[in-house]
Amino acid sequence: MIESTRAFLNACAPFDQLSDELKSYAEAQMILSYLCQDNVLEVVPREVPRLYLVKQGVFDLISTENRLIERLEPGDLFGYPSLMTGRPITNRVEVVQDGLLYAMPQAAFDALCNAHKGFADYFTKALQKRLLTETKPSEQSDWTELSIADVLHREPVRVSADSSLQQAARLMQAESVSCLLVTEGDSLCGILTDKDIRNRVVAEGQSYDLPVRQFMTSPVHSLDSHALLFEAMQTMSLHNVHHLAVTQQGLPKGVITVTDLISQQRSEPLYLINAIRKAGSVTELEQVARQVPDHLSQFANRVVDVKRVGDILASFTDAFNHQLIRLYIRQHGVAPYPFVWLTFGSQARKDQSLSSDQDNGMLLDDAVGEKAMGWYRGLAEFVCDGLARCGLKLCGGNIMATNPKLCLPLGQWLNKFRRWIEEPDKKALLHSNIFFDRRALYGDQALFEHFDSQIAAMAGNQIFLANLAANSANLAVPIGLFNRFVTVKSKYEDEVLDIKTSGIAIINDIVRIHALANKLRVCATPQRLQALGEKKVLQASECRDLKAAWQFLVQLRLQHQLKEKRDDNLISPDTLDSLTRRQLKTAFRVIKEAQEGLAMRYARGGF
Amino acid sequence: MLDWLFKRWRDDSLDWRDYQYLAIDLELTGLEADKCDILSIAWVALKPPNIELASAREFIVNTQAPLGQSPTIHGLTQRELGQGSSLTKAVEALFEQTAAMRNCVWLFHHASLDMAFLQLACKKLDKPWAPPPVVDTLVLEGRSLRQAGREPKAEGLSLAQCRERYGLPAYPAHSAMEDALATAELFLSFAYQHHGQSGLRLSRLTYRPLI
Repeated sequence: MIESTRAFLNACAPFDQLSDELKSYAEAQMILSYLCQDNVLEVVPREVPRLYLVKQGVFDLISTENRLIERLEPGDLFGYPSLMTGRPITNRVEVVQDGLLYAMPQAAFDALCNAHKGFADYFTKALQKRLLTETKPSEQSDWTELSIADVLHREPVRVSADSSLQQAARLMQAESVSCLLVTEGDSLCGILTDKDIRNRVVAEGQSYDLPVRQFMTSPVHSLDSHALLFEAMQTMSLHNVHHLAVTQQGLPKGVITVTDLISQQRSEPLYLINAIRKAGSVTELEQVARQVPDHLSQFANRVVDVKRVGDILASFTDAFNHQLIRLYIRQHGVAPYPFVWLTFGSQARKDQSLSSDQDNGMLLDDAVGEKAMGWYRGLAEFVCDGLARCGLKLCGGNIMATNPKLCLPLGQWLNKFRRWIEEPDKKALLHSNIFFDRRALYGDQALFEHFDSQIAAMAGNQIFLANLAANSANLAVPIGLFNRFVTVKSKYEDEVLDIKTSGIAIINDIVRIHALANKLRVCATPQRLQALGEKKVLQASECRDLKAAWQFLVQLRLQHQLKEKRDDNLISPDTLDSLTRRQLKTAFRVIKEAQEGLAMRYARGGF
Repeated sequence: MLDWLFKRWRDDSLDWRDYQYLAIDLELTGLEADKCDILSIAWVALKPPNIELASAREFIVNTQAPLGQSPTIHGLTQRELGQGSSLTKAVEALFEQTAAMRNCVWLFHHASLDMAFLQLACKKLDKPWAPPPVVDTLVLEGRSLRQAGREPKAEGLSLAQCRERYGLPAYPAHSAMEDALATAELFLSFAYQHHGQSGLRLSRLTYRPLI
């Protein structure tokens, strides 16, 4: 075998795993070709699948939709999906920089896969990954791979540019569409949306007899019907529009809206939740759990609103938790008496991040005696341990159902809350905060109702609220004189902000206090804000701003965690773009104002 | 039959891509053919744009010649050489391979040196000396540099220096096999970069050694 070939293969997974004998077999089976723009079809023929390994040069692998799948550099492999699936070759290669390419025929590839399991496994995994990013999986269609034509339901509703606004509005009403394509003869010249009519016509007091031409948006953002939904999403977010015209060979073919995109996304996380529901053991659950971070980051990359990713993470956590309880019941029979699996803090609010740990407890029927406790203790052990194995860290503060102080009958739970509320102690208050965000995840709904309504009644206590408000108003928001960030040094030596403790948590606190004062029974921060707005506890603008600040911070944290693959909440403002930095400052200012409002309203009479 | 073969060998009027090439390299004990010996011969066949790795062969020649300083260059030890093949076997294999390839052209980097040794070996072994057309990447690159108004001596014409100009990776220290493959890669890079689009007759590339 040629020494330099051996050295090269030694540096290329999965060839590095092969024995010397198999390596020299591989070498003898390969041809080495010079690939340049002029001979692409000769070196990478479209009708013969082969495994290619780049020795030198730079090549782009391009899909039929003209999307760059991968930039190939020395050591990179391609061509294996067709070898493994037998499906025709659809991608093509573009030469960025001439170079040398090894090519191995199907028979030799198959022989190596048969001879070496590690070699075969490598390609099986690579194929799975490639399928996730590249093509539709066979059953569950991956919406990012759908073309616009796949989801275009109806013929376009068109209006001539010379029609009056009223004619246009009547047409929209009759066809129940939110936008019209405006045409001149056969060609597309603009788009008219609900919003255009509202903002440019009605709000401006324009005559409805004026022609559409004067109020349409033109030129139109449009895409060919063969473009991917993914591109539609990118185009929409790039131009901040909710409608795109779809054309086919330049002629109007339809309209795609943001709603069309969202309805496509909805089915996707379901496959993972289904997998969780089907898992028959903790080990199987663990296997599913391993896919969660990848799935989330894949999803986050595709989705316009990152908030969705947070929602999905919450659904995953709930599903794991549920399934663990079901598995336990399957093994140990049903509970001897009614009980409720409680979740607290971020899981209850459904705003967990990748760094969240588990916070849970158990509410038992008062009839549960020492003899029956075994079943519940077993459940607590099984679920907390199972969640930990699925990536939800055990709670450092021991807020878990395995803690005997948090696995209590109704009466004892109520006593606990009464002490927190009526005998305020600064330290206890801080620790008890988390229990005021709670949700029944599983179990007897009537028991939970009883428990929850009594706590809601107790929590209206003015002194208790004043103390909570005083605590919260003292938390420092990291924005200082002249609107500058107040950062701290991280262990990586950069200047950072903890957006959880000095942002998200403060909003959660403020909103919780208002919610307790008004005996709201929901616990997710956005829902609480909505209810507070509806009850006119807070002004609509205040609610909107706080909600926007909260969503922004939650998104920023998630993006940070997915991008940096770290599970902390430390953002370095220097690494943000100017827009994000400005948004971050705005978010902190909103929090400061809300803190002041809170102190004004409740803090009198506290500690 | 021989006449026909001979005619084909001499026929250098087709496009350069229509030939098969045998990239050859020899490791030697020195530079003078009449005083020095062949230590190894290696080759690999190519048919543009493909290099047939399976055709790669290397013959270590069983020689009694004193090695002098040369082991530091080619890395062959007296022991390896002692276990090698006879020069006859190596040269015969080379001509067999040549005859088996249609429209074969020999490819060297610095052909005059290797050709002189091969010609003398044939003479010593009492074999007819009938080489096919020869292409020399050193000559091609030197000519190409001069045409571009650059001074070949200043730029350097060693195999490694030529490869670097074509963006080819560094390759391990001298062995006949590595050099033969390195020459094959250099030739493809040279030929496609200069003559990839327009067809070019082989006669424009061949080098006629003074026989």
